[in-house]
Amino acid sequence: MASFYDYFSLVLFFAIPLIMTALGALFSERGGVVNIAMEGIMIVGAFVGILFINGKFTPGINSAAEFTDAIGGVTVYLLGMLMAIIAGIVTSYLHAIASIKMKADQIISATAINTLTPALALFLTMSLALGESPGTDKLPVSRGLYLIEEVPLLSKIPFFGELFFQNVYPGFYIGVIVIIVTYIVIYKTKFGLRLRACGENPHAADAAGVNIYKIRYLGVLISGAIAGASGFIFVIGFTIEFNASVVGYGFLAIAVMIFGNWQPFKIVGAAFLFAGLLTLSDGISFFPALDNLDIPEGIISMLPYLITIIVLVLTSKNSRAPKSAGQIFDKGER
Amino acid sequence: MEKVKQFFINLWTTIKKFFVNFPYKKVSKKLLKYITNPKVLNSFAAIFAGLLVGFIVMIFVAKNPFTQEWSFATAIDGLERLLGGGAKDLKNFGNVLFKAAPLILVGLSVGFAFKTGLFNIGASGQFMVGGAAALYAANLLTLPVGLHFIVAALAGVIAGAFWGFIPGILKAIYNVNEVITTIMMNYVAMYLTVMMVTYPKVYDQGLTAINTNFPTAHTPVLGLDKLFPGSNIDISIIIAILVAVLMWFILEKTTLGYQLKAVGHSKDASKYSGINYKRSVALSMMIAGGLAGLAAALHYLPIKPAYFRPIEIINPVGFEGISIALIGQSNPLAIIFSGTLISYIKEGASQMQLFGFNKEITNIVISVIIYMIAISAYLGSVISKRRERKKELEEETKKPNRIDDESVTKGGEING
Repeated sequence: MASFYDYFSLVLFFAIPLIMTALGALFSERGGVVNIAMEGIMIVGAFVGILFINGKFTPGINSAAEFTDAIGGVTVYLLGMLMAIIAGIVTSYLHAIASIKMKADQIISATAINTLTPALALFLTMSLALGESPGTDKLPVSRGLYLIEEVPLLSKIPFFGELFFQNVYPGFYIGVIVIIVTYIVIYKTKFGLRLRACGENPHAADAAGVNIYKIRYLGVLISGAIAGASGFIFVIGFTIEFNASVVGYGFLAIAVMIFGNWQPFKIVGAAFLFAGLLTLSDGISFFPALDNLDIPEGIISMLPYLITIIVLVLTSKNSRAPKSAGQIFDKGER
Repeated sequence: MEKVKQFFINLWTTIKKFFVNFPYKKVSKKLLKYITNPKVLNSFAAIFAGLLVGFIVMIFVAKNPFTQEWSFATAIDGLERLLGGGAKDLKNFGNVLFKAAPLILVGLSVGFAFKTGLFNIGASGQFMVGGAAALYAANLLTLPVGLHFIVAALAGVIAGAFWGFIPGILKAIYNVNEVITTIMMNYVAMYLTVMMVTYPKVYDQGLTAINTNFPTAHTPVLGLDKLFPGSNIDISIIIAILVAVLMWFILEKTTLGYQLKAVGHSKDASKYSGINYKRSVALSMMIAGGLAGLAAALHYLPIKPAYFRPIEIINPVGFEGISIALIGQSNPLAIIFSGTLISYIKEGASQMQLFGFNKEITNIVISVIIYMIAISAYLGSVISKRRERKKELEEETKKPNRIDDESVTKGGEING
């Protein structure tokens, strides 16, 4: 049981930021705007959030430890995430204004954002000496400070208590909330219906009196907010030094979204499958039967990507992208 | 012997005829028309805007290297290096061209796919696999000088083409989104090449990279180093330009290119008109992959090569390729220019570090250029609309203006 537990918590850990980013991209794509800028937005979110929790925006506070001593780890974490969300919204606004108002090619403007953000983060870190020592382009992350050791009462539940309510980052709960809220918003609200209509047939939605531009703006900005937060969660969970990179997670998330067929729950399933395979090379020792086969580590590391491709081939018949995703909406053109 | 002589005489007369009868006026007119094409002008305006933003960012962070105080003069020094560093002397310019060759080819890889309606994010993976294959061929085969280089480069092309073919065929037959498969193939390529690099027969423990001592397989220099003394230049830039021209020719002047582009414009229409959709998609991705593979061969085979190390990072060159393709608006001939431009700015940026500027400024400039290109059509239409409105307003207000003038002078009289 212990082995399964270790493995499962590792999978959870990997899956949450993946799910969040994929759901973020979902909001944008369901509204008809392809957003491959998720990688760049995650980087901005993580960058601004980490600067905040390291006390760079707060006068009188010089380090992450001082900050958490002053107002508590969870509070700092949540405030940092709020900053990340704001940064994410601002960045995604760049994409929104180019691709919705200015009718630009959505891939081009997103590529610009993906190129800009890591460069800007590294540049500012170096030039303004934001790291620990002046010469470095890395930001320190004291991730241990933000763990919730135990949630009172709930942590006493057998098995699940240990898994979900001990030694977790607050981001985990945020991730769960995002999953539920996304499902409700997309399928159970008026906004969700309009958003889906915008992605499927904007001209029909327009004729029905929906303001396409406004709905699409909202979709992209929501995706920016979620991507900013998930970038922050990802970096705090995984690294002790942030060097303006989320190691391709933003692109993986878009793959997971396509894999999940643009549907929230399928995305969650796809992300878990993917994260499960992704952690296989780290977690193989939990499965003695597999471990004994002595498969080279490189091959095991390739598996998640190969299996994803195979699954996509098998399920491709059912794959349905939002019909007008990537297309520019022009009121006059019909 | 007579025959050979006759051949050369014939050749000479054709060349002479070509230059005597060359339609200089027509070509120069066409060239002028091409340069003043709004698309091209937009690109130049975007490049200017990118450099301007880069300069503004530099002004903010410029510090005197000695006093560590803010200094405008340092920003100017930095800008001078950014703009002129690549052409400071022949050595630098030679290096710019040397480094431009792989960039042009990766840009062509992405651009060719764009032209045929496909998005190749997988140029990185194709590049890595192509590089490993080229280095394997260089290390493990024994062939005469010249031929060995060609074989090694072809090995890179074939490996890259294969890596592009997989997403292509999956898209063609199973309709799997090529964006996701190429991303996945990037990761597979990364792990695969890490394993390939550490294979004992090619791995150099001292270098911690694939062995680069393969005298017969290096890219030929053909005396180009005499033109650019001290630089690393070799024939790779010539290969890149020739390939770009070839790609342009295929896309614009052949039936095949027409078919590939038609498939990119509309899948259904092309199917209806009898074009083999599946073959076209697979072929496009294969060509794109082959171009990335060739880029890698030219990146890793020179006498002063880049080292192929076993690190688990996806080579960012594919993403640079996207930028280059976009700046060149996917036109193969324009990509020659945009690839060289990126190489030039990079060289300038690396020299700028002397003045304490981080070389990441390159990517800031590039991203602004791309963004401006994205919105340039909109900005252009806004500007032309405004101009029209201004003209209309001027015409409308011409008559009332006179009346206004009279009333003003009258008012003056009363006041006086």
